[in-house]
Amino acid sequence: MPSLSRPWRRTDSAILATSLALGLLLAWEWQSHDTWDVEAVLGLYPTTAAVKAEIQQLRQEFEHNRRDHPSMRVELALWTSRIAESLPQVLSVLSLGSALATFRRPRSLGRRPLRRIGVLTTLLAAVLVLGICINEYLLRGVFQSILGPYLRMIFMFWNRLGTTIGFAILAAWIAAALSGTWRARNDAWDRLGLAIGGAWLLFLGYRQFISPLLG
Amino acid sequence: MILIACAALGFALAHVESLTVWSRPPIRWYATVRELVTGEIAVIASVLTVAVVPLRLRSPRPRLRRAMTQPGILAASVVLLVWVISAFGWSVHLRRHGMTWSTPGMFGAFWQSKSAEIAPTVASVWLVLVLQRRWRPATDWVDRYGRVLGLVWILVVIPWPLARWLDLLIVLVFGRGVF
Repeated sequence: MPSLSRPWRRTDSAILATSLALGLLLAWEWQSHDTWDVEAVLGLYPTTAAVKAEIQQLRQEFEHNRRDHPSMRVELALWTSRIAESLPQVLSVLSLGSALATFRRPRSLGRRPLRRIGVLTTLLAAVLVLGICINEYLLRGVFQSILGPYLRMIFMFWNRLGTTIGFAILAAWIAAALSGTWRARNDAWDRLGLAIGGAWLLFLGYRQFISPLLG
Repeated sequence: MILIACAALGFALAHVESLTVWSRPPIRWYATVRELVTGEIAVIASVLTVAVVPLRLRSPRPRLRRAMTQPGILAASVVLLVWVISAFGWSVHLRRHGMTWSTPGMFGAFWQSKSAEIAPTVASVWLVLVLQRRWRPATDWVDRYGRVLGLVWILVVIPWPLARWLDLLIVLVFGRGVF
């Protein structure tokens, strides 16, 4: 059985750096653009004008309220949520980059490396990111082409994706720990997977416990 | 006894959930069926799945390490895990907004927004078992029962994001304005 014995190379660092940069770019784009415009860029028609107008009005009311009643707590909550809600975008691209670096040739993908929790986490995160993103894109495309404007809040997409992956990794880690199959090696590949998994769990914790507290 | 108690709890929760669903304007029968599947039936299925945990804990019980490689008990534990974490987070959210679980529509809102995570999580841990070659089903009825309910979660209750393909199919077959 092949094992993950390939040492860390410059190409791996380049893949990771590129994926991190792309992830940050995606998060920045997402924060700085209206999500409806993002849909238009993807070739998917934005949702109905009525919903767009309603959300725009809610945003304006919030901004007016924020200007009239400045509050340290609100500002802190805003910045925390901005940073935390960029995490799924950064982590999604980083997960794909990590999987590419971990499973690329010259080492074939055998089953034995998957006994290691870090490598397994990398694979699980990448499979889920790919599956959910492709499904979402196809779904929106098909809905749009057949039915016209498709009423579905795209800004909820990243939060749901993050929560789903967070729960999947948490459950996989607990199951591995309780069944005695938690095998971590002290190498870069395992540490990378554990770091990615930890970051997804951090997002899950934020969504489940911190976000409701901040309101 | 455990199954009867869990079924009773499931039906009680489904009743609370149904109060939210049925309070909406009347919809066509196929949309009602879809709401039933993702609402009431999913609520009852979740509680009946969690019942596997106490059933497995009764003697003669396998060692924890062995039990965690059995897909049935693993599916049940995952459902319980998602339920507990989501319910805790929802309680914090309710407290923050000065509401309680008994506020009308709160359980329905909780279920609609949080239940979607259960099925992908069950599918993920099963995938992990297969990839690690640790899929070791027990031959007794408890694990088989857990496996069937895990499969129900993945195939019948149809998890997010697959549920929307079903929506599309329904819209294509029955026309627009269904939901």
